[in-house]
Amino acid sequence: MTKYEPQLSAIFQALSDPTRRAMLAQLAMGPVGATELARPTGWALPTVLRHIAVLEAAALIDTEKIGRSRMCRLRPETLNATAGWMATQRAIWEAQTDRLQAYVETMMQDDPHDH
Amino acid sequence: MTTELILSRVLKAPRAAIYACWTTPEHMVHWFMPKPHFIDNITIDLRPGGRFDSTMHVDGAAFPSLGCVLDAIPDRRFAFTDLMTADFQPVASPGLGFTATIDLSDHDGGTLYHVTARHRTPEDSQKHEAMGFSHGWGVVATQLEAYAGTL
Repeated sequence: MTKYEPQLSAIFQALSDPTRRAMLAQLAMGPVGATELARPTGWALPTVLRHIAVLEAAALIDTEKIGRSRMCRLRPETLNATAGWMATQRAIWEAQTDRLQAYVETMMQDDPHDH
Repeated sequence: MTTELILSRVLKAPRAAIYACWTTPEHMVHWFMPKPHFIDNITIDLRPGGRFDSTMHVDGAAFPSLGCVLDAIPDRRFAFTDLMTADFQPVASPGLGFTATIDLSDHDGGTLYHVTARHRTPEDSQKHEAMGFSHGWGVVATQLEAYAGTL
């Protein structure tokens, strides 16, 4: 579990920026080149390349240099890891409720007139 | 992606006993954290805006945790958050960033225990504080292990 920790931090940081989320939304429709990805943002290519680097570092996308263009491709399995984060929160609550149940039942047996 | 978590379970104990477990430090130390981790220095001021503070000990490291009571209706409801400290003071950088409401109602043979936990969306989370996040995951691993052992 612990090994996912840096990855999740990087994912959340990458997702915190609306431009990068828009880029991911576009990539969800299929791989595109960096120049094409830059067009709707109205930002300079170097700025967009920096966003691409953040997304790639978080393993949210893959990139590949093809000729003079950098092709970008979504890695959907990474977003599934964040969905796993919610599953983890559930597991915490379930496990805690198990302990509460065990404890409160013991408490009732030990001191049934106290409550 | 949804960030709201709902858990409902029937516990074989009266509402008052479960409320006491959640709001009394002497009881909380026995169940709140999975062994070998533990919690101490618990302060609970049972009123909306009251402090809900503790120290969590995980893998030998101590993590102070500050929170705020949002609602405290005896034997019925307890709600708290780590997004604020006492008197609804917002915190600069919360650990997990959540609100939790525990609702208790009568049910055949015991109490219907209903938890609603609401989390910040990952988009809002920004970069997690290293401490808060690693703490969370350290607990998770152990709890998952304990939980798996009960299956």
